[in-house]
Amino acid sequence: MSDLSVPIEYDNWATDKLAGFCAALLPEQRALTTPGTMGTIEATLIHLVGAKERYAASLQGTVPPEDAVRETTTTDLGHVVARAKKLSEWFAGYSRGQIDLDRIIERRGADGSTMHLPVGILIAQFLHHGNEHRAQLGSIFGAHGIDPPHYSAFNWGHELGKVR
Amino acid sequence: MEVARPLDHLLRHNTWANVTILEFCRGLEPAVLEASAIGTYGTLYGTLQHLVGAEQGYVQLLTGELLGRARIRRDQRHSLDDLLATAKVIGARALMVAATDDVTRRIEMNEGRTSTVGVIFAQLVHHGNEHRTQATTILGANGIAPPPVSGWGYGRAAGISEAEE
Repeated sequence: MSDLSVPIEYDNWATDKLAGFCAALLPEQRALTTPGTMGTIEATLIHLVGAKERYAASLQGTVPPEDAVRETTTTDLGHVVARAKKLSEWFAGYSRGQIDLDRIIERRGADGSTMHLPVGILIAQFLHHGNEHRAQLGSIFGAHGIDPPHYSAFNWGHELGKVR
Repeated sequence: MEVARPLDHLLRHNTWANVTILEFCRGLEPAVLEASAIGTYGTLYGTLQHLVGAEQGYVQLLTGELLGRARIRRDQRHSLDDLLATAKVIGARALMVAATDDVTRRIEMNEGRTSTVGVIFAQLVHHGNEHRTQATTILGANGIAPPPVSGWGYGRAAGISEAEE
């Protein structure tokens, strides 16, 4: 396992775990939110996975596929869970290969502008973003007395036998 | 900037984001530091203290060294200047460790538990992002626009990226 594959595989595990948990909640629970976060549980999960689609596409130099999760159109959480797993498989394979962190890639902004950045910055953002929105989900769960699955990196390490 | 090593940007972003939020909060009215938001860790101050205190502990696990002005304890009040100074020194040390250590090396934690170095780094990055998010949630819930602490913000601040939110 390479140095970078550790936090990436952790991100995969944590997002997949929370995606499955959120998808199994009742519709009225998925509509919950709390002040200071980005929105409801459902919207946060769709954004979390939708953004992961765009990070993967940027690293591949493509656009997200036809069936990608999108904040504007996706409503089926079963599809969100399935896409999250697919994305995790891709990121796991990617993280095990040789990654040139200094390679400059293009990213298209919401206004259509093109921005240039090194791969290392995109990966830092991808991992920040996953942790950020999982933390927001954790706050919403806590605010409404929902007992969430444990999703820290230590929990992941324990499950894998890396922490014992 | 030199060629980036695998964990460089993650750890540099983490330290930059810690410094950004601590400096921002240093400029707030003291009463705001006692604000909280439902579902988060605690008060804004308590969250920041826990954030830096935990990283001090993670780096101590990795190096055996207690870095910073003093051990950060939950039951003691440390100034934001102290937290800022400690965040900077442990951030720099974590970067050095990541450049030379082996992510598969197993180290002793507490109560007989062990962990690989790689999982401790993953936990440090997760924990930092998690509690900074709680701090920004508290700020947002109390009507204060938080500072940008994303990876995009770090890339722009470092002068190596054009990407924006």
